[in-house]
Amino acid sequence: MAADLIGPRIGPASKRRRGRLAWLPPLLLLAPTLCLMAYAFVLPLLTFFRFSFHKFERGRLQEAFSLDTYRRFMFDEYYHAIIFDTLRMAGIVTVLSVLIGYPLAYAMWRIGRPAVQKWLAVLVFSPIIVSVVVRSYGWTVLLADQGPVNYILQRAGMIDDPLRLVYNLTGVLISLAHVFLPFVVFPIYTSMVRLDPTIKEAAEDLGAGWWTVFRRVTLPLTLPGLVAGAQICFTLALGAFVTPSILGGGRVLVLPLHVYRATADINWPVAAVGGMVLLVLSLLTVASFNRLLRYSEVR
Amino acid sequence: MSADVELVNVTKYFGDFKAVDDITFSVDSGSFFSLLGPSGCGKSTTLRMASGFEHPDQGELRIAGLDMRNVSPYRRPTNMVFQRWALFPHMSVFENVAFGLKVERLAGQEIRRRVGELLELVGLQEFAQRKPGQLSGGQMQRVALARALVKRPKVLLLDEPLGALDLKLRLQMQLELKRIQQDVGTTFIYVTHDQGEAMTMSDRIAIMNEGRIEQMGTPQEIYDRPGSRFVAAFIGNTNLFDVEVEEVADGRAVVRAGEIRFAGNTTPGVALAPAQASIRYELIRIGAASEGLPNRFEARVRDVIFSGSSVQYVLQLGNPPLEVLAEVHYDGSQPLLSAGQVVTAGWSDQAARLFPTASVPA
Repeated sequence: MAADLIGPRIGPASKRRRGRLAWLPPLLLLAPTLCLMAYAFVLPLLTFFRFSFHKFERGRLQEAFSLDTYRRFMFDEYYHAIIFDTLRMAGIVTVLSVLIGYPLAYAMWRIGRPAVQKWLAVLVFSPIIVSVVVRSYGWTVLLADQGPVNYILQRAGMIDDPLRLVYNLTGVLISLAHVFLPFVVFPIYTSMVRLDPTIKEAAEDLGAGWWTVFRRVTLPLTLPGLVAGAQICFTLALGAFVTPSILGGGRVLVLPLHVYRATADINWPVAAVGGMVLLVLSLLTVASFNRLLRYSEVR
Repeated sequence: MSADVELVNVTKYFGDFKAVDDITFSVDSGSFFSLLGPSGCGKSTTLRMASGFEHPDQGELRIAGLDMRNVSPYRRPTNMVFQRWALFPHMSVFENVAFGLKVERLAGQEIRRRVGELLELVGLQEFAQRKPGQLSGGQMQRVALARALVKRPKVLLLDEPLGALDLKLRLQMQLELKRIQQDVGTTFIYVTHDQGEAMTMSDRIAIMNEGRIEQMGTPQEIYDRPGSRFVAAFIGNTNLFDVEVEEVADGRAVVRAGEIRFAGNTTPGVALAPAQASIRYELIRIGAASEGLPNRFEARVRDVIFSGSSVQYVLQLGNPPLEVLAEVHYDGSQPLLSAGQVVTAGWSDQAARLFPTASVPA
């Protein structure tokens, strides 16, 4: 009898307490990240946002509210060129990485020998292990006019004069495609591994040769992996700074480099707006790739 | 009737493992043929050799009279329904079924007509624009069937296509598969581990075990005259027990198990030595039903298992007690026996089949 009276009271109460406390453990786990993000990302962003409305005149910073810098980014052809070059570089790097990465992932998947796959994965991953500065200087040596690449091409009789492979866009593209390869290969590889092998067999059984199987079945079903890889690659390329500055030889002026120079000149407004533009470009990229992903998804 | 598929002395190894061991059979044109056996018996490998996804190491494989040695899967007059259907998840039902015809580069009108026909045959016209993810298991099953049949194959290969469905749907699909097979008149080769499925649908069954064919015949032949101890145990429910052979002559033998002595039909290899006897549950009669039967014994009911349309009694015969199960049809007109009751149980002269004791204990 007593239990009957107490029982119902305990039930909902304990449930309510559990409900109220349910959010606490995840919050505690998230707290360090949230604090760090607030201090290292949100606060600087707000500061930047404030600076973006200031004015920079005759080498001095003026704390008056102005939309001048935004206006310059919007209408000045000089900034248009920088933004266009940045997007073009990111675009070419992405296409290059996908063109190299997709066949690589496909080969890794088709080999089907775990030992070989493991070593290939290490190889693909290797550019990330090497410091960006070391890697970039390595490329300048490899791609120099008297470097091994030009030497081999000349000895093979394929070219007469050395190719200009470094201190221009070409060098930047080569180095970036090299380092972004793992970001493209692994998402694609993962989507391939997840494919049900009998689906391919079914297509073959229905009369499809390997090209048709690839075009109608394998490619559409691995497209989400490809889009994810391209998305990462494009976003990273937008923000690339060290590689364009070392391998570009001053001839590749992309937005991050411009922002860096502006900060060196204490031109905070230009640096701030440049950063804002980069952020908006990245967000737009993520959004549009997600859009693409939705088309390719299996509904 | 001509043969559509012929395998002659086909052997297949996976590494050192002999998956298929020297099998020979042929399937009549337009018939429903089942390969039945426990998992790992080589039935799926046999089917995959017919489809071209595996290649025999030895022996010959002919489909529609042509040697298939160097013919790749996409050029064979066979199509396959896969275990988990393997539908293309990014294509609609229509596109799935149309896939094989588009590969053949048929005209759009022809494709629409033939896909329409097949969708009607499997009753999925309204679902043409759905994606596989929006279908139930039974519907996906039908799509897989339509997708394979739309190619008008000489032989349709089915690899446990009903395995992933629940029991009720499975029974319904069995009848439907049989109907479709009779409608289109295509040769079906059906792989399953489910004896009920094989019995219901097949014209002929090959029972496989450890890469070999144990027995081949119509469902009734196999049920009534199992050729080996394995087949007797695998098909239907049977009492299997050790006996001592006392006399053997002309396909008949008299055997003894403890105090119980009876006669039965022999299979090749039974001699004056230990053997095994098989008596199906439903062939053992109890009480009045056993009157006049040549083999009658006093039995004690040890247990009663009631399952609706039938009752199973666990009976103890003689001393030391020989335990056998008897299955009796139940219609409510007779009261059930109860445990501890002593009754008379018996079976006919044709009920028992005798097998030589396997030289290698299973």
